[in-house]
Amino acid sequence: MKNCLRLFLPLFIYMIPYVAVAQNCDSMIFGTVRDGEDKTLLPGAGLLIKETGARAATDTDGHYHLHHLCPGRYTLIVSYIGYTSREIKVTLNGQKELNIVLETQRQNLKTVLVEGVRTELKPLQVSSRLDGKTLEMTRGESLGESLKMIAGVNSIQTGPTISKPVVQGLYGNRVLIYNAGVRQEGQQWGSEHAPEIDPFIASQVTVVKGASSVMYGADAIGGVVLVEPAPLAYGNGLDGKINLVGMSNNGLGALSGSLEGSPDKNHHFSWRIQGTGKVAGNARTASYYLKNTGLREYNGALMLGYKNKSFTADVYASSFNTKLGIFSGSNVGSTEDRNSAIGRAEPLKIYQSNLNYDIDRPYQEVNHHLLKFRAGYELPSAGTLNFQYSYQQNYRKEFDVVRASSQDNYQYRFDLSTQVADVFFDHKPVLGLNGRAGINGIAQHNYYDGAYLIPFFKSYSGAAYLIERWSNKNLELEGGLRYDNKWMQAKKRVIPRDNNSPVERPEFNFDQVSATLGAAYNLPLGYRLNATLSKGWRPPSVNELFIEGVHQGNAAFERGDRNLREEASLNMSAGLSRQSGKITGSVDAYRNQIDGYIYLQPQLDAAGMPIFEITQRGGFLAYQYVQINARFTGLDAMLSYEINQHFTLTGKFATVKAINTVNKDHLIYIPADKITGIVRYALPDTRLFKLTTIDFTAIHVARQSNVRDDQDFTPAPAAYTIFDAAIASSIPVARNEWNLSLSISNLLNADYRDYLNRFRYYSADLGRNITLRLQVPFGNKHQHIIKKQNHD
Amino acid sequence: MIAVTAIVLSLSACKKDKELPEADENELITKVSLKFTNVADASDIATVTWADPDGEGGVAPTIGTLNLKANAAYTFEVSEVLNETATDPDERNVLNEINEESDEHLWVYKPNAGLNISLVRTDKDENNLEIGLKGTAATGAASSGQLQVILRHQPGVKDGSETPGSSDFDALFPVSVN
Repeated sequence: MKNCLRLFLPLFIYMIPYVAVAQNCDSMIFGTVRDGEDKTLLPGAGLLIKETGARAATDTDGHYHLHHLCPGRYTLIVSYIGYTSREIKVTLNGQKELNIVLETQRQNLKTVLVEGVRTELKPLQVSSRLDGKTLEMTRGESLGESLKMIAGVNSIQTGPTISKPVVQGLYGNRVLIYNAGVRQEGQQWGSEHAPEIDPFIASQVTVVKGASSVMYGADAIGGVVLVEPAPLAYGNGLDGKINLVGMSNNGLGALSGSLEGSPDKNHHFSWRIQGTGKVAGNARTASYYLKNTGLREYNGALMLGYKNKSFTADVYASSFNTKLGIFSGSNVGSTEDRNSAIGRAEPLKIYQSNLNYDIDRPYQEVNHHLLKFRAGYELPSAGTLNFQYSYQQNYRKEFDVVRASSQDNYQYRFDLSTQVADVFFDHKPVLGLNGRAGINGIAQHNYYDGAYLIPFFKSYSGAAYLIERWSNKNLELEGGLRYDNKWMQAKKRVIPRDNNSPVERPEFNFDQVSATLGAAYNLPLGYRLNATLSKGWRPPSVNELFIEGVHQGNAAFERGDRNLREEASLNMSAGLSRQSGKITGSVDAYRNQIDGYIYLQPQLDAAGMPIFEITQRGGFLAYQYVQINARFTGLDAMLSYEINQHFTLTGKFATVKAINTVNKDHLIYIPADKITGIVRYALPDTRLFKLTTIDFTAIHVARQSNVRDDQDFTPAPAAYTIFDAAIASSIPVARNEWNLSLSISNLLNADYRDYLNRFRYYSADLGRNITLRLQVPFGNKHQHIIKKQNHD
Repeated sequence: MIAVTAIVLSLSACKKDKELPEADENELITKVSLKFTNVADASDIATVTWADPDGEGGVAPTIGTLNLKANAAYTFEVSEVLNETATDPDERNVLNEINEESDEHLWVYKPNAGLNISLVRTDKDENNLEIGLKGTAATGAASSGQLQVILRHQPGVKDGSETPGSSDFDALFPVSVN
């Protein structure tokens, strides 16, 4: 019958040329699931689309999303422990909000039907998410850049091309990044090492704020960034998407495309390929270009999936390749170079350049390759057993300005390989408890070539953990426990730069227990209270133990300390949030005590004068990794008020204080207070433009006045305010819905410097940038469904 | 957990224990010598050497003292720039390379206040900009102090001034004029 209908399809399409609807499979249903009586949100409720088998579960806020649906009529089955399941007929065409209410099944809890449905388990604690249109509006930016719109998330930058996320004041090794479910293991030997991830691959980026070591592993004492591609679609036909981005400031052009399909009739198999190319030239501040700040990036990914009733398996392979220019004016050979560069109001004219795409020394070349295999087997009455193995290879080459004889060589080359194996079991409810038990093993090898900065090392880690969650109508409780052990052996010469020095192999063994305890309580009117207490830890990284040498761009001689111990953190956070209604938003307060916090300290002699390390290029300020006790306290807030169907006001605020509790000094490189205001105007749909919005944004960043001037090379830069504007719309074209947007950042071309940009010493931050984005979906999926719809 | 770790271990065990790479500091300079010749008496030669055989970090460099006569005229040259850690003779002799790339390099000489010596660069590169591998020096009344010697590397940006580029060498030589 279906085949027969398919034959007639072209005829039908011909007959209905004016029904310009979104027939690509990019439709989605989203909304909330609530208790029918007191209207509280229900986290962990299962949703199933009967026709396609697509599944989802509501997140901790009771929200769900079902992406990648073709237009058509569906039956949505909603179920939740202790509630009567519901079947809801939905006609879907584009985006649809569907808020579902479930009625309590009071008489017999034992007969509850629980769908074996679970989205990726996430901790109960505070998290923020970028997805849908919000994420689309960051396309073309680096991961670090795009996360900056979340309150409490910043990025520490090294010029315009390199940025790393900062979560509640913590960054680097303390913020783990999970890319497609794999713990990203790149080189993190400095803040000029950006995450090696193509953000185009993500359909959702979640930031879990605060220590989340139990679920994500030791190290995650600052937070976790989850970069998640859309789940593979198991449906008919081919489907794809092309993203185009152009930026005026640095002449950036980005093209990203994906294609996916399910080749077999029964939809047991699915595949997707994705590729991104990105080229940018010199970036421009308000009044001059920055020479040698271009970049090139070429990425690709392949996903293959298989699923039947109780077994799922997938393979994920990706390759990230980039070449990043580093601003020529930051190439300081000596302390004197640096001081004179810092002293200038703007960089020398010869470093101001024009818009071109040349990348000269200094630059970085980074490649990151990932291969992942995952399988899950659903045991009929017990739960789902999952296995995952991943292999990552990271290469980083750094090229400095050198004399001709070395012109063909890199100065530093690192080669890091990481294998991770995970086995975990998501069990079905036992005594009202839902949870996961798992074990994890990591093996890592690092080699270098060229000059010494960090040694060879190998490390092996093992972990075991258990997380359980209990919930009733209004209260959710979560508890977790984890044990990690890490063994590491370095290999280096006693005097690293001396070929005649003997080889040594220092060994390390670190182990600790992490724990977490969380609670959430649903108040009337959709308000939700939550609080988390978690204990985490982080073993010192190899650079903190053994780095020895001058880092480019900051003219500082850094030394590690092999006697460093683990960092241990105790993180408390509490928040109030509301996800629906005219007023929505969240306010989260936190306090993160870190004992043995490791940081680079400038070395002073007995008289309080800086110590210089004498080299051929004069004296470099000596820095040493030391341990202190630190306390991070802060507040992140986001509040939206929907005035009417057209106007929405949003405000965001974040503040954090980080104190060395030993000497009461404030720590350096902590984000300054930031306040953002957004006015959104939603236009009524027209035949040509749908879902059109206009946004005006004002961002004010205060001066970081907590640090004393003598704690840094220069005093913290002044406060600044910048304005952004954007217009976005969906345009029905042929049988698809194209998304088009135009946004302008730094509308008034303000001249400013940001405290978290390490190149603020040498140049101003970016000037006005106009970005044009176009997303073109295409595909021919589920045409028979469309046809059926026309019959109805 | 042991099982998982064992799998990972066995998968990675095939990697051989690699040898550490030769300590290769491309831009390293371990020895710099300056030779001053008295114009009035060619046999009156003063040489001063800066040496840091183990490179950056490790043992601090040793620097000789430059002894010159008061109220005298000298010619000077950079007589030696070596990277003694390099095995390749071309890489070892940095001075040759600086000579070849004279249009990218500039030597800067800065006596501190109170040291009665003035230095003038006399050599020029193909763009008619000074190099500073050779020059003349004139001493005044007896004095002592420090002479800062800087080698600026200015690929593509050399304009005759010290400002552009970055320093490949920067050291203070004690000087005694008497």
